[in-house]
Amino acid sequence: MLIAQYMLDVGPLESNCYLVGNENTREGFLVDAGKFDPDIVQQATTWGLKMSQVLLTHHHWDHVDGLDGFLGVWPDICVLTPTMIQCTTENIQIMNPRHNYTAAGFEFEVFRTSGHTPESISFYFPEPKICFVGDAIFAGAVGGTTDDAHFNEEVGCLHESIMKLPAATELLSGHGPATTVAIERRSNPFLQPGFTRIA
Amino acid sequence: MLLTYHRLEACAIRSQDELLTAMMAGENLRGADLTGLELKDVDLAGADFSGSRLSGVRMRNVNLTGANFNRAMLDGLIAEHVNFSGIHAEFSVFGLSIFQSVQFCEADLRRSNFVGVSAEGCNYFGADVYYARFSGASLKASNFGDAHVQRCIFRAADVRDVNFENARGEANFDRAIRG
Repeated sequence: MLIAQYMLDVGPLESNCYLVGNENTREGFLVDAGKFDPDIVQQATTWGLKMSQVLLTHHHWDHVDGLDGFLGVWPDICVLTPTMIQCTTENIQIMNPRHNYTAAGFEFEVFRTSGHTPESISFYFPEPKICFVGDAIFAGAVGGTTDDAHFNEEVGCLHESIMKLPAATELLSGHGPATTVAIERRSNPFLQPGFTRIA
Repeated sequence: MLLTYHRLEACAIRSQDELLTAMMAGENLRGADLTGLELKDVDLAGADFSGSRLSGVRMRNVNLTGANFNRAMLDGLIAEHVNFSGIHAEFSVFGLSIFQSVQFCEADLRRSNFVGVSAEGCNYFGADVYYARFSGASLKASNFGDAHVQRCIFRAADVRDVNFENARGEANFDRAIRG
């Protein structure tokens, strides 16, 4: 699996976008598309990838605003999304939590990781133990929530899914550096009992 | 901006001798898998480990000044008397590492992950820790003098007796343990 991590300049948030390629099949896909970046298209070409899908973790602007730009370059790709989204293609597939899908020849499972937004989902690739978590969890933090109920929902989802993955699983977030299940399980303050959300 | 990329089926190196041989031969170590390696009394200044996996590596008396660790995985590292001064380690992952007598002077640690590290008495003098995450870390008596700490996150970290003299920028100390 080839992974290129891009930090997209969408203001102070610096959204991540991931280009993933399969060296054997030469297929590729994107995870999130906060801003169109021709460098990503160039890298896909350099790797000789035929792009097949864009996977969306949730629908905040800093993760989807570049979608139509990429569809302009790759009009045949399928948009895999947690809920229906307005864009320039009708080639859209809704993903359901706890179901398995395939992207560029890699199987992955979808987890519901709502709380930050109602539709937020994560994508776990058991081989090679990589999980794209969007804004559900970051290194040492969790996604912003609007109230305690959504915070509890988010933390509950994380305990029920992401935190049960193998300890060495690499978590690739929508913002900031990568982390692992082991790091977050042991040291993410928000996942410890009694640690409350930021008001 | 492309940060770097890694190839998860990249070459694996399992001993210090193997590593030194590869370096002597001028092999490209970017993205290499060095998981669990033991390094002792060795000079690796300026080496390029960008995108590499060094999870659980043990280091003792190692000179890594000026090395490139951009987007490298160094989680669970155990480092004693190691000099990381001047390294380039943007977006790198040091979470859960244990440091003893470790230097990060003038290092580029922007947006890196130091969550849960046990790193008492380490020296980050003049380092750039812009938007780095030290949540839940034990940093007692460390030195962040002259460091760039803008947006750096010390949430729930132990920052007792930490020197922030002349540190620049506004960091996040949400529920940090202070003296």
